[in-house]
Amino acid sequence: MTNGRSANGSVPLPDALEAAAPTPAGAAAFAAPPSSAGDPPSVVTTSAVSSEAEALSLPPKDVSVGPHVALWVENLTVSFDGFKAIDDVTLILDKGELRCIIGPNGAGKTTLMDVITGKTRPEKGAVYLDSRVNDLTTLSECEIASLGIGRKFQRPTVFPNHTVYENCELALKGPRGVFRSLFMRTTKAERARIAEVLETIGLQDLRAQPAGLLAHGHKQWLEIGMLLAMDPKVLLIDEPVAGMTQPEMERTAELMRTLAGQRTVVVVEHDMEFVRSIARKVTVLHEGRVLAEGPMNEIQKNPRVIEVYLGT
Amino acid sequence: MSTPPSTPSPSSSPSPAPSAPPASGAPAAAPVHAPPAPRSVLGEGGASGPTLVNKPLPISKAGAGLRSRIYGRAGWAIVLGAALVLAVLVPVLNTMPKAFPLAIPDYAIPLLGKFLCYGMAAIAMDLVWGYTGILSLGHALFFALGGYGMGMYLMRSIQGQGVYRSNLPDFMVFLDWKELPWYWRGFDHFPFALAMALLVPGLLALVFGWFAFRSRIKGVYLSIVTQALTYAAMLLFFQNATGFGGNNGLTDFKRLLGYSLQAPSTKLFLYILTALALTGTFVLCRYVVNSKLGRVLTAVRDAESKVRFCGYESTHYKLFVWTLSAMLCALAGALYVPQVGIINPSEMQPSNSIELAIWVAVGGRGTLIGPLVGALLLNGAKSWLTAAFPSAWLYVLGSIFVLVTLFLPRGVVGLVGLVRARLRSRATAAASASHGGPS
Repeated sequence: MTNGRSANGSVPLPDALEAAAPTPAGAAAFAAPPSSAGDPPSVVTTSAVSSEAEALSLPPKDVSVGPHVALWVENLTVSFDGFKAIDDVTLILDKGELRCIIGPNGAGKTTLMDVITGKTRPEKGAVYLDSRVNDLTTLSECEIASLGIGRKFQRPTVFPNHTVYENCELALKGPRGVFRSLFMRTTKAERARIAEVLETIGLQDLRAQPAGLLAHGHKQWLEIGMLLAMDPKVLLIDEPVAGMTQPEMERTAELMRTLAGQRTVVVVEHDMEFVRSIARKVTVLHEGRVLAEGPMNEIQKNPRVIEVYLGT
Repeated sequence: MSTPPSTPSPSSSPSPAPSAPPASGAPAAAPVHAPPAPRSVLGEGGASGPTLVNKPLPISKAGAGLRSRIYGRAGWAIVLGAALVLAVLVPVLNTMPKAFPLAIPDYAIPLLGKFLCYGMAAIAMDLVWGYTGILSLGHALFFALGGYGMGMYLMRSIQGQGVYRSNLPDFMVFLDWKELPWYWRGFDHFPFALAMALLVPGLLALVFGWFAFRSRIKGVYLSIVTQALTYAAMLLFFQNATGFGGNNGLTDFKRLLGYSLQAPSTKLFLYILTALALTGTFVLCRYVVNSKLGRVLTAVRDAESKVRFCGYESTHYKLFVWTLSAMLCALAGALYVPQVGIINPSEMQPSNSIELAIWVAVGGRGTLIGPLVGALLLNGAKSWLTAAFPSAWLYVLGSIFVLVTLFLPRGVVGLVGLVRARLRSRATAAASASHGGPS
């Protein structure tokens, strides 16, 4: 991807589209670059060139980023008082992909999620969902959520005074307006959907329990269940197994694998064993930049990655 | 509602967490136009300390069932029964001869009516505080504005029977005004006056809320801004030039829709009307908190950012409940004025809003019956104590508030739920022990 840009830096995006569009198995086009991944200096130089070219020739806004692309993060830079938490990150996620983002503390993983979900505004760059029409960085949190991006927080965040069932009900895909919810009643189909979600996460027996009284692991599952009920196109999951026991972790890994395929899932995780158990493709962030990207087994062999992260 | 502004001082700093840092930015954030407004007892302790403003309610298992209908059959029976007692039994007892042991004297009827108005305001307050987590310390403003709307109609209906026999209200004659200010026009029509009494506070709440919630002002900061708002309004209404009777406010009312306000029958009618309005408010609020909207509101209280990430525009939800609450408060104010016979700017003083919050806290926030119970209990106690031991009332109020905050986070009504939940959990513990169910 980045190599393609450097070859023809003046028109970066159409180039990428040409490469992507005619290939039905477009995933292959994006999943290719172990060479670029292991070569951080080239990442830096190419992005400098391409961001310069960006300003000159943006492709028309209505061009689709490709039928297989779910989320497109483009030249994103976020800085807090001069400190660059994210420095020119470009990330392309395919539909149905399960992507793990790893990296040491302060690599910018959570900030990246904050930007995608609208909690933090970037200094530069854009995030597109489905097409180039929706630049998520200009929308509010709830607009982004209703476009189809769901997020699970690092600390399990559920509504403590609502029952497990009600938590799922609140998250359930549907109208979000004030007056609609004043007069809304849950339909039979919606109740069935909630029951289905509760079964997937294995909490059907605790449906009438206030969520605040759940065990930690159950809260994590409930939050994942709420995301399922929202039925987003892209799921961002921040440290799903933090503080979980081994069996809980295995169950969560299973849950993650069922999630992928139907929708795009991005998992930020510290636990390498967990990442190994679920990941097909891994992106390594380091000091706000993409250090490497590729299949897990190649990432593990990458000397730079070993140096900054795995080795320590 | 006529306590001096020093009400909060005996009960200051009831914050249950001594570790809370001293109010860091809070006092500095108070808007400039409110000089030494009595500081809120509820908001001290800075934004980070668990004060009453942001202290989460304990999770109760009591409301854990799956809610769909407004009430079950038993619930409706209780509500209707209570409404009948208030709106039928009390008036019947009032018409009994004086010799009858349970007869309610005439003087008690407007007093009870006044309490019920306070109860309505407390329920409205609970909608924003107990359910949505927005502690308003300016709700007395909406109450007073509703009262002023009704007061303006009552002033206009005096029509030449005042001291000066003028077509204008007496205070305008006194100020040597020759004609009615434009904003008084139309207030001689009752429906218009009533509509204004509800719509003006509603609009004010909408505009204020729009700016406050859109800027994501929360917690103590919002409480301080609301208190500044009501204080500013009070100063404005104290001015003679504002055209609402200044210091003295609006008083010396004669009749409502042609009926003399002095007649016991009118007083009784107003009381019954208040009881019905209270019942209506109660059921309406129950509908609201029981709807999906109500669950979103509680979710906003507990985890607002999560609500946003679920796709709900929490600002709109807060704005809706804030405006609704303001209008219900205004309705209570409009019913209050003909029964007490006066409305003046001291109704807007900060301590009134604080007292309103105390009724809700003592009764039990996050329940609808709690605020009503709190308002009736505390006002009853106040009426009795200010007569029996005039100097003791503020100390009693203060200590009740401190004790409730420390020991009864869900208030007096929560005590019932607490006992019931304990019994229930004992029962489920016994059941799960017998067949090893999930804990």
